[in-house]
Amino acid sequence: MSAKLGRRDFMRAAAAATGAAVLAACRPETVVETVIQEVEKEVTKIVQETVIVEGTPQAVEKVITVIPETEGDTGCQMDWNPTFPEYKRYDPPVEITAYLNRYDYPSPEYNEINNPAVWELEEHCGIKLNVVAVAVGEGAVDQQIKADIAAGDLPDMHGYSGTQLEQLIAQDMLEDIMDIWEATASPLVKEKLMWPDGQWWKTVHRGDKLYGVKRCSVAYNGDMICMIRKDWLDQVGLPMPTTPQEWGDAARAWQDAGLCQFGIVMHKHLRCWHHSMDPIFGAYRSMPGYWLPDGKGGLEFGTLRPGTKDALAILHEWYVDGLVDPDFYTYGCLDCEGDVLTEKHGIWTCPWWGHGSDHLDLPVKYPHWDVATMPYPKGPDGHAGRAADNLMGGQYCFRKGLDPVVIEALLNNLNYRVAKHANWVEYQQYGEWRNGGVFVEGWDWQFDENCEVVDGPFPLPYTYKYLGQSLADFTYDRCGYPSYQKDIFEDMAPWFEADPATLNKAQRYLISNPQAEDQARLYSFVYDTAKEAGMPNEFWGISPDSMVQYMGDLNTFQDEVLMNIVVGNEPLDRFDSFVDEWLERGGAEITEDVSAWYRETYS
Amino acid sequence: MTDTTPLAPVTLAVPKAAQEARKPFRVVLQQHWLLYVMLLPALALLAVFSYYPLWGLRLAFVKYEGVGKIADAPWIGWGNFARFFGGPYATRVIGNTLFIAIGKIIFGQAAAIALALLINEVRYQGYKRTIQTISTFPHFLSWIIIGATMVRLLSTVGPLNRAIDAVGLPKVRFLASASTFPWTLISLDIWKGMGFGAIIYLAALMGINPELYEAATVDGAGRFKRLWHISLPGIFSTIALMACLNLGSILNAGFEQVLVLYNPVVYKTGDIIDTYIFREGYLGNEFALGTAVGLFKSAIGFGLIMLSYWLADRFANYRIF
Repeated sequence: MSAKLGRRDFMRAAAAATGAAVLAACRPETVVETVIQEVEKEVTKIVQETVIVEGTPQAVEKVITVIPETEGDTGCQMDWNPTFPEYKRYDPPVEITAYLNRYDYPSPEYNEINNPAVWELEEHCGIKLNVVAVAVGEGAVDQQIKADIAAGDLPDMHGYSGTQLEQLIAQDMLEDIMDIWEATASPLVKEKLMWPDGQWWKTVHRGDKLYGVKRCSVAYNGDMICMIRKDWLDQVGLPMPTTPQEWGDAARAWQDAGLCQFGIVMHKHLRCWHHSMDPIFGAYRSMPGYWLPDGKGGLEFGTLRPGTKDALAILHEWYVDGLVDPDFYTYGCLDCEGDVLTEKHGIWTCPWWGHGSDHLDLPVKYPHWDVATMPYPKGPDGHAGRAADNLMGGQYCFRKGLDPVVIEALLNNLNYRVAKHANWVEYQQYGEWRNGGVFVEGWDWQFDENCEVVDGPFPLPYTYKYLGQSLADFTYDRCGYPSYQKDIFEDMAPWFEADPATLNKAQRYLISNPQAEDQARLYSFVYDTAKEAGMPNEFWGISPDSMVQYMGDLNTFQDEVLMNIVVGNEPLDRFDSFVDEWLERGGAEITEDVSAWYRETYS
Repeated sequence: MTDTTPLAPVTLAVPKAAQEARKPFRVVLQQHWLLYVMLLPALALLAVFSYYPLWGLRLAFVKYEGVGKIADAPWIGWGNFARFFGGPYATRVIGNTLFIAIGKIIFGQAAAIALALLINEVRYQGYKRTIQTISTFPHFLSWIIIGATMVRLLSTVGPLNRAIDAVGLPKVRFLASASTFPWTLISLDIWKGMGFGAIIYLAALMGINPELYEAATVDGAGRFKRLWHISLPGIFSTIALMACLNLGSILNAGFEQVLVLYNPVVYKTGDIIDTYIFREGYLGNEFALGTAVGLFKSAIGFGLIMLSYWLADRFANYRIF
């Protein structure tokens, strides 16, 4: 036999190698298993005090202190004693399929399934994440869930939009959890979530069936505040603006005084979560894109209200006068932050908790600035309004056929989260200030040379990253309830007035954060004004056929006309013909259908 | 003396490939089975990623709202197409697409030819290479990067408008004027693709016999005459070929570019088929409508590719099959 390697031999070898490579590539889940095994090792290393409870899958009651509160290397002592609510821990853990958001973690040893939130979930609640999808980037989870809904392959638990919920109920793809809910949800959870009388339960509570758990935060998605450079206002000797016209007057005065280039932040999405113009529209009782009560028991499209024309007149005036960036139509929601920091503008709107440049940090970053919260501007009839949540919140639903033990475990997880949050002072769980952060030494906090608690190596925003990344359990914000944030700020209020010596180190650490007092103040402002100024979108049902057919084109039509009026490509009177055309192009039909839904739902 | 030896009968050699072709497939398979095995992964990829998704085209003919299986969705025939063509924007987005795409093809090709001719005239190699490198570089940048830069560069208060203002001309609203916006798109596309597009014409210019230039020079032809009478005719077949092939992409007006640069102010002239599909189909969850419009675009594109292939054969003698 010849030792020479012929062309045929080479081809055979190449074919074998290709086949092997294809087979290897097709073998499922190898990588995930490896990663999970690696993470299990990590968790074993990090969690030093693990309590193993025998017997599976029986739920057992156990108070566990898992995440170690060590003395660290400093020799300093904690002067608080964190404890945990009672919890039914499952051993071996109950597995749930999970979608995760991917974020940059502070250290390569941490990742989506090795971080404080996951440690707590598994070690305290006996729930193990079985990662089925890791989403990278904005909207990636939505893409994934849309694909999975289309394929009829839902994750164990997920938060769905109102329309998705209606579709999934219609397709019988969700589990009725009424019995498990009644038996498992704690009295505290039921009280906080206002079960069953809170109106937001309407979305998931159908007759004797319950298709999910509500998450509702009063300020969520309707938490816009108006900010102004008070120092500039003082320099030009103007009082705090109270009307849209006075916003413009302030900007003009600043320009004349050479204080800023433009004055008022605006971008192409006239209404969105950041730098929105909704308080201007609200002042005239309109709200583009929202369905508002028509006063006759039905709904009307907020864009069509006469006040929209008045608001557009103001915005156009600002554009012509150069009070807004002349290229604002090229900016998206989050593109304007830099212009605030570079002092091109002195008036902007943002959620109470800040925006990308984080106004809560401004006093630290720019100590010479004096940034104040403005009252919502009032229109000619004294009305002030802003976009608000319809209090229907989100809903977390379980796929049809899910093992009841898994549902029970997740509801127990909710009990745990709410108990820990609502009684955070009693349990001395100071991470709850950060929406349920785990407050781990060496992560969130550490001792300084004086044995005082200071920021750890991974303080904010890492806390929010690990809290926000899992979409499958009841970590924040899935455990939110109407008074979720107010509970915390009310508990903290006396600390700001108290003698620091009477507080423990953790409490002193929390109030030493320059944002803490501002957060409490701003949140209270938003919370207290929600009822008076909030203008929620009252339609949250499944899109009627007319909406499916016409709404996309009508949205294009609306955006185009409104923006062209603002920049002066169309005269202001175009708005009148726009209203007629909008209705003719199918808008009237949609309005009828939406109103019929509203009457039926709220009858 | 004449050689009277009769000529031996000529046996024409049958090409090996032809001989193979006559063999039954079973025999060929026995002899070359390994080659076919090696072909399998490529066929599998083609089947999975190119042919299997074709089944999803069913979506264009059903009423589907994003939940449940597509196979269970009710059949509505041409309903989604009727919805698009009966809507207010069909004519507009098709018109905008054609205008922008044709503009890019005509002016883009002209610019690439002009650049190639100019570079071909440069004798200093270092300068020539530098120009080529600089002009080709933008091709390798993504529209996302270019878009972010251009939005600032072309803004009303950007450097370009400041320069225009400095010479006393009125400012141009590149991204906010319906009449200017398509030309902004075309111009940027030319800038981005001109250098890369010139490469093929430069290659064609290299193929022209240098003796033609020498003879023309001897006959007293200047640079322009040489260019006009030798260079351009010499690359005409390439120009014709590229023009024909570009016909196939006449409905591709550049989705990424438009998406990063357009805004509601210029929908009137900047909204193209692809951005419409993106807004309605993807953002608006109207998957069926998006698929129908996409299928329409693909069907027209397929027809144009067939036409361009025929034209390329007819005018440039170019055939693949």
